[in-house]
Amino acid sequence: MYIAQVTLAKPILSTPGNPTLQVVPLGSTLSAADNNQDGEYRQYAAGRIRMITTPTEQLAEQVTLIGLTFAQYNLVQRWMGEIVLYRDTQRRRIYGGYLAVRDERRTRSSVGEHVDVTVTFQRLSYSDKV
Amino acid sequence: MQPITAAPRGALTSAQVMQALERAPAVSIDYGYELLTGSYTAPTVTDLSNYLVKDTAAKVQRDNTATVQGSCTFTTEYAHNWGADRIRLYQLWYVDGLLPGNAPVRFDLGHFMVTTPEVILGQSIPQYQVTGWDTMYLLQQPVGGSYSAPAGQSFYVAIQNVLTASGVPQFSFVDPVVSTKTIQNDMVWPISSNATWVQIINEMCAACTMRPMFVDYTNILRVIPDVDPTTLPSEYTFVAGDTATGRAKDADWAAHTTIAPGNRSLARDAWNVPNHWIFVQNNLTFEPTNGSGRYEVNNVSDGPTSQTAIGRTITAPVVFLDAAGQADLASQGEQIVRKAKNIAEVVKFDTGPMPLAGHYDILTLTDPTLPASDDRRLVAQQWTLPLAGGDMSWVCNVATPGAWGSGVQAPGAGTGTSDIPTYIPNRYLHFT
Repeated sequence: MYIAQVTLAKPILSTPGNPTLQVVPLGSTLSAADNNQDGEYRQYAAGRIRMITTPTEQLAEQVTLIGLTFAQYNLVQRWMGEIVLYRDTQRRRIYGGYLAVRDERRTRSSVGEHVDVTVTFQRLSYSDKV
Repeated sequence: MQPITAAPRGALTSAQVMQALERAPAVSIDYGYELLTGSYTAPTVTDLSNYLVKDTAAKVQRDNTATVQGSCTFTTEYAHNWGADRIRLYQLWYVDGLLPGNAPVRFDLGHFMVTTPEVILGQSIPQYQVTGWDTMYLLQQPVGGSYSAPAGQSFYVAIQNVLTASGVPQFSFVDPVVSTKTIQNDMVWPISSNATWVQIINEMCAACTMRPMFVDYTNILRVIPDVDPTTLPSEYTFVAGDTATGRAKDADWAAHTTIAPGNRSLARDAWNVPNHWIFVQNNLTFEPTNGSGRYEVNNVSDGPTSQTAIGRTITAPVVFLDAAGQADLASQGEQIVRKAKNIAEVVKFDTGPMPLAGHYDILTLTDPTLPASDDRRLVAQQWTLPLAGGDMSWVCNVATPGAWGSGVQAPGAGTGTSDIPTYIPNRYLHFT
């Protein structure tokens, strides 16, 4: 049995429901990640402090998709609030969703006018087993 | 309280369970629920935890003084057969290194009928905020006619007959202790009384000196003899500060206490506490006199509410009782006097989650800031357990109210390492 590891040349954003519909930006950056565990430090008598958590972890990752065409930008906007799959050249594979899109319009000589889009993925529990 | 190592913790030791409950410095608490179908004693179990919408408002709570004592609140995306589905809630406690494979310690929190959904509108997947009630709810239906139990019938048979007539066939009466008492006079509930099954059962229980029926966390119907709670051993000790009792329970108590530092209060109610009572037996064919259908109690000098201490006689409303004879009338009367003659003390406090909490738990609170004495023996009246691991709240009556200087009941003996909750099976008569 052979397991192939595929390293992407460019990041890809798609939806699990229709993986052939893809947004392929020129590049992407993962600029920040917040990993939060639900829970709290609970204080009890005599100054005892106990950590009580729940198994829920919240992982939010901020990704900037660089050099999108306006058609791709529209697609990214359309997928707001839906489950998307983000894969990048670092073999990251994130099922998540985002509820906001921040865009910056730029002009680069190589691609002309385009959009850089920043979204914050909230990682979601998703099984792609069939 | 729940037996500490009964199923689903049958493979664990008491020390392991208590390590999770009070000693581990860090725990992770999850919760889930299961749909139970078919038999009450061996149901088919379907886990629906994936449908739960986890939130901090989810809780199980218990009011031991209510007719349907247990209830729950949670949010689910599962569309239940509302009013018919029976579910079981549970908590899972994960403690690093406690069990092989980091397996959780599971606590079942009771069976509930999911009756009252509130659906949140405008969402792509409907969410139901559910209130559920324990299965005493099934007995809270009106009889829809008159009901009677004849004189001479044992209460054992009488209560069994009510359960059968209620149409809840899974329950049967297996402990014959109350069969030693018989109904003295015909007990009749006319159609105009609009009595419910549980009302009839509880009036029968009262007539044979039992507390009202309840259902435990395994869905077994039980009744408890209405005995003086101060004669029962303490099931658990909450240590709120440095006291002799706290040190006896656990020399390293400060590292293991689970009582919250704030929100503790002690209230007293001395408003018109009676010191004179008259009890009359129901359904007599003759005029009752003291010693023959009538029982009278004067608290002349016992405690701070006595006629001597108060300087006047405060008569309680006459109480009519379905007694099985003069001795039973006196016994029931004394039970009422015992509860009523004391200045009521109510203690409220918060603790870390304690999913072993049960029905009328006998607790000890040891707290150096309590007036008069560090310790109070408590009878838990209400508790609320947040399912997501939040601190729980307790409302307890003091079993023997201290007279602000005397009369405080001695606490239960500590084990020296951990005051492991004691299961007292002979407190229960159970229906299964």
